[in-house]
Amino acid sequence: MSPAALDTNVAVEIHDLTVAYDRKPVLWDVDLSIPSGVLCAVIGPNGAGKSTLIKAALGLLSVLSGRVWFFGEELNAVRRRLGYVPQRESVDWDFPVSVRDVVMMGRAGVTGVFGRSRPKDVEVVEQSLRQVGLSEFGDRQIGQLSGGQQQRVFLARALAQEADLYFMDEPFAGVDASTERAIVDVLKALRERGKTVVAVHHDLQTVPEYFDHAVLLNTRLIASGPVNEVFTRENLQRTYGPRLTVLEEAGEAMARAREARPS
Amino acid sequence: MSADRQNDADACMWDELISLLSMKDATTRTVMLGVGSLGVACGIVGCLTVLRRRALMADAVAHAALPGVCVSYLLLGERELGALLLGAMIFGLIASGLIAAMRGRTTVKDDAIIAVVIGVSFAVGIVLLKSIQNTPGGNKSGLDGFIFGKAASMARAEALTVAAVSAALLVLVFSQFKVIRLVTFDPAFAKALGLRVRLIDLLIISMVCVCTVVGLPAVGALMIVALMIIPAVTARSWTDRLSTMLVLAGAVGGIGAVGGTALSASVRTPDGSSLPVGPTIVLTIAAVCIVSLIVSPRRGVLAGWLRQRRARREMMAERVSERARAGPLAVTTAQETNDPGARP
Amino acid sequence: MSITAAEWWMIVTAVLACVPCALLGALLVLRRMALLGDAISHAVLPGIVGAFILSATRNPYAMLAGAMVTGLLTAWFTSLFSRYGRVSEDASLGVVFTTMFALGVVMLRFVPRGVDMDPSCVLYGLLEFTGLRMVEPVAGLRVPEAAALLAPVAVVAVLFVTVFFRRIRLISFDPALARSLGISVGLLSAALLTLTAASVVASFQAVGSILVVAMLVTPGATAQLLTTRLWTMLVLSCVLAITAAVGGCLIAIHVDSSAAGWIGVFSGVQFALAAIFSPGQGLLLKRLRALALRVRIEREDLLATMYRREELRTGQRVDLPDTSVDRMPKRRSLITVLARRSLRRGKLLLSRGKEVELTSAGRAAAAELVRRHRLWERFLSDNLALPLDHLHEPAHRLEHFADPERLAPVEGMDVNGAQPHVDPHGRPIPRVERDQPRPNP
Repeated sequence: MSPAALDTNVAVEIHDLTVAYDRKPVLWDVDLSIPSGVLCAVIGPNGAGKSTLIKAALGLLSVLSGRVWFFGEELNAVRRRLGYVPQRESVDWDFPVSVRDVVMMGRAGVTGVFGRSRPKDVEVVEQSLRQVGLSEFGDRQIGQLSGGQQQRVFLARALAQEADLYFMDEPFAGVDASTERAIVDVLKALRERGKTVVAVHHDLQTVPEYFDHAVLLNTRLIASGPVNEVFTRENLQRTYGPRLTVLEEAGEAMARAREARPS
Repeated sequence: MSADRQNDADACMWDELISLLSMKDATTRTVMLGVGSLGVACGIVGCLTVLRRRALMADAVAHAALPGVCVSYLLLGERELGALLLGAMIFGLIASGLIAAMRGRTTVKDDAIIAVVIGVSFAVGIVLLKSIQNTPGGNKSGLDGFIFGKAASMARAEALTVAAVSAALLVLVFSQFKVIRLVTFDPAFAKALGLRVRLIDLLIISMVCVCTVVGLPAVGALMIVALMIIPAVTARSWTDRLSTMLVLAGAVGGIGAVGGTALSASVRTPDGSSLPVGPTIVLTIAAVCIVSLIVSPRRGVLAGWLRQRRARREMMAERVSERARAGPLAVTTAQETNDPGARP
Repeated sequence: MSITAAEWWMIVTAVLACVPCALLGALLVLRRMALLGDAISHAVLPGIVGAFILSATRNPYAMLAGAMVTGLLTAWFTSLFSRYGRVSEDASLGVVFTTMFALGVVMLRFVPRGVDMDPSCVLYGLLEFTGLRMVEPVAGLRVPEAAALLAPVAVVAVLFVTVFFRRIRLISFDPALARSLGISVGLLSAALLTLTAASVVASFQAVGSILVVAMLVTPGATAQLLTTRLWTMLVLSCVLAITAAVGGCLIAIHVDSSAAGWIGVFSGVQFALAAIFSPGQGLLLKRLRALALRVRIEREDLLATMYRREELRTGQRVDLPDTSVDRMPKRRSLITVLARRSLRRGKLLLSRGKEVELTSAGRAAAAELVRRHRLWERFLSDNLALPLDHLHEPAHRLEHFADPERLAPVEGMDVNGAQPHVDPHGRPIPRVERDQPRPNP
């Protein structure tokens, strides 16, 4: 274990992370650390592995190599301190649940899933709904909301998790201007309370305005650090420049080697 | 046939239907208890498979149960119901395991694999059935009852078993309601919370297997999946809440099963025999479902069609007024970009 | 085993039933509509029975017409429910075809007495009795009724697919492109669906309702496991269907069992064998290839380790931390045994008592490998700016698969001209004589 990994002021410490889908490398030997208490944007072109970085960190998919620590601990020890906002398209919005039901799902990790929701849970859920401005929509079926409102439901669910570190997969994708404003306000409020947010972000224009930390990714890590240091023209050119074809072969080779490894 | 005799026959049928539904007779009560609780359990478990988009996987499991029954009969040589159903259960789980194991491993897609499992396992079942019929001796009567079901001959012990199993399934679903809902709705989030998504999936598919297996003697392998899918679809058209949907689907399944059984016993075919129970139950529930799908206020076909028509009309009105406001040049550009033929 | 004329007719009928089903089914599999095939084969039952009750005869054309009506109704209801009723497609399919099938089974009870139509014939088909019911469509040619019905369907199906092959390929692969090219996707799909329904109905009498599903989907899915080309897939699925039909019938004649059942089992076995042994996708061959790969990696690691040891011993290289020097496997596993044996066979390694040594050919091969490793480290360090402690692992994985001399120039690294002579740790990169053919390790 690296010494930095034990540092609890580091929210996320990723070491040597390599992920391939079907032999195609998506992340290649990524090493990075994100300090706690920052709003961190993960930036990169399509297919650069941004979502994969988040999913791999949360243990949602299998990795070829690499380790991840949160606040200096392994994933299973700190799961309850982690919040997750998946991409909006990842679920069936026609599912028969109400907005309040979905937000209450965020409490599942806290209450113990078998128990009835306690008054505290109800209170947290209402507060989260208020924070994203969906109080009066609590009883709606989720399919009856607009895209931006649906995104806010997911955000409220993550807020209900009362986590210390939030991973958000494209929270601004396809939302209207007022929702974008609302989400930014929520992010800033989270930072004021000392929480950390790692969000996949697409709109380069707004990075310096919304975030104070950035991870530039294009299969491999290009740069990571405070926005004013790493958000440079040169780094962006390297991020959005052509991908190294050698990495394609390299990742394929590693995936093949893993297939061959005795299980 | 004279009109009088026709009227007599009709009156006779109604009398019989009413007497069956009032359940004065002990045998009737037993059968109704059996099929009713089966309908409730299937309806509720069916909701989970339909929402998890595994509706036709349940069909594969049901078809695979048939060779399972035959294999355990061949191994044990007796028509011991428990053993036969254990065989069905094992084969059902194997089928679902095979489908899961092949998923994504080859270029053959899920739906084709499911269809292969349905067709081939039924073929295996028929071959085994034939070879059982060819062997002399043994009490082999009623094995082909597993195809279409023979609810009318349900024994008291069988009915009680079905009722007990159904009750256990209900307790399981409602005690694990939140976990099941979470995993069904958003498996990735559930996994991020540290829940064992695969375990819950296995639980759901095992419940499908259990439902199939207890329903096999009564409704048969070909029809049992209808008892799972149709009540779920019916219930979904009336409610937007999962808990209500489960209760409704259970009710539709249970009432439909009882009603269908009564109907099958009271309607006489030209040759004087009664209707097959499984198919009659399916048709009864399907009638409820089709009516629901058509008239349901929020999700019905009728409402959807009206909504679409209204939207189209509003859009047309808007476009007309827009064109009236814009000059002739704007009209041509609007036609170019908004050509209704371009978007079917 | 001698085969009677009736049995010959049974085999011919089975082949005629299986070929159009397999051909059109393969297209269904390809277009992800396999379950629609399943649904149609269930849903034609009420149409067949209805025509039967109304006409009170076994008129095949009435039955065909009835089945077409219910088959197309199924497709129509399914899309109606999923489009307007907001029911997911598979659930909607499930509702419609189970209902249709139940309706058919109930209607069977209303078939007048004395007509040979019962549930078991619906399920298993009447392949065994095809020889009993002969007709004479052309004077002087007596063929079974089922075959007389199936033959034109089979011919039309094969002709249709052959003639419209290019268009069918296009609408299967990219319907949007096909539409933009002016091909009437809806019409062609409808024609294919109608043909499929016709084949199902025509085969129905021979093989029964449920087994049509196996006929329809299994050969296509098996063919998909064996090839990636559409034309080959279609031909292959027909060949598989013919062998399944003949094989299934022969087994059934031999053991006196349900022919339709055995055909289904036979094609199931074909599918299972393909899933295990298919050269491209078979699960077993995947395993074997992985084993061969592991042996090769082990071989190469052994050679490279021997080379590094020699380097240390002869003082070509001063003592630098190198994690890979002592990677000589202590444990004798199947892999190490196989690797060592192949090295000795190839005269790359010599045993002297307890010690092993490189031969000169072995040394050349090992030098090549170590060269690759160190060139990769060089590349990873120079071009990707990886830190020193992150070089060994990726280079070690890469050296077995990718040749830096072929790849690196693409990324702007010069390996031959002003060739780097040391790796980032300062270890020499072995030179390889280029005028000799490169030894293949």
